[in-house]
Amino acid sequence: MNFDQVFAGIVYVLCALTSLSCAVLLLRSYVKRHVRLLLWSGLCFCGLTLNNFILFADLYVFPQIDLSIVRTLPALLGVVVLIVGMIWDSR
Amino acid sequence: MSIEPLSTDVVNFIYDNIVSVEQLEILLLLHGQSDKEWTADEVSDQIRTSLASVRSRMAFFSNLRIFSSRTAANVTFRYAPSTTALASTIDAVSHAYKERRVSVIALIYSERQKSIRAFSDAFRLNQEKSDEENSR
Amino acid sequence: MDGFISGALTLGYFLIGVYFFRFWRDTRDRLFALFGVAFWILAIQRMAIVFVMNKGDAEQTWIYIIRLSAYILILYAIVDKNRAESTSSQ
Repeated sequence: MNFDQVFAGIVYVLCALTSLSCAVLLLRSYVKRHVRLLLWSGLCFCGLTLNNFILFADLYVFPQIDLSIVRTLPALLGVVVLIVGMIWDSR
Repeated sequence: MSIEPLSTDVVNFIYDNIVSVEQLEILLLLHGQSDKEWTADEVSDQIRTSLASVRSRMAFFSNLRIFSSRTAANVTFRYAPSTTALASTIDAVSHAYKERRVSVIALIYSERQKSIRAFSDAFRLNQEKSDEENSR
Repeated sequence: MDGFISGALTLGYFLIGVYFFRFWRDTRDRLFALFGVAFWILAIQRMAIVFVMNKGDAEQTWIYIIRLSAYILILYAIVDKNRAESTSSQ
């Protein structure tokens, strides 16, 4: 493993932890306040978190399997959920 | 002629806690006569709203440590904010409601603003801390 | 299939960014502007992946730096929000 790959791995973990924190903050706030935007955006960040974690797994844990579609689908789902939620709830 | 915006204290308090004019009026009713112990019936007579609604609002403010409650013959509530910061904020809210009623009412009912604010507030980590401090 | 998903994601990130900018316009809260930029950066990153054809390798260095900068911006937005809260307690 060269430096580039190690650095990339650290970056992906950092991204995953960041999106995880956002998801946790938003969903926790949703449970308290029942504001739907928090649910949609929380779910979106869950999707991004999965995307980041599976990306890391794809490259470093299971390099022999191609998870490129498996890792992008959660992100796409999260993004769709948020956009639909924002449009549906907007006035 | 310049219209200054409502102070951030007032705005935050209303966004965080006030969902209807009736609720605000209950708060300000007790605020206006802070020595008196109120029963839900008395408040309901004054504000002309349902008893059940009054009870839930009183409980709400009680949980926020803005009202204190006693159970003697009846359950009574009194205006008793637990911190001086809360007290001065509610004084400011009361003042704003007298001087700028329409603005305050518009603020209470701005739904989209409310959900957008909620998003931003979700990332306020010290709000959790200050909630904890208030309830200690 | 990859291209389709990437295209959809790019547009999705871009739209979410637009919504965040609208929230920023409505509230003047800096957090939204920062999130908007972050999501637009994610959109750019997604596009960049499509145009760099070697799907076998990990993304090239500059692509994951782009991703990192988007998330750093999000982290900064959160830190900035909490710093502002602690200094503006009037």
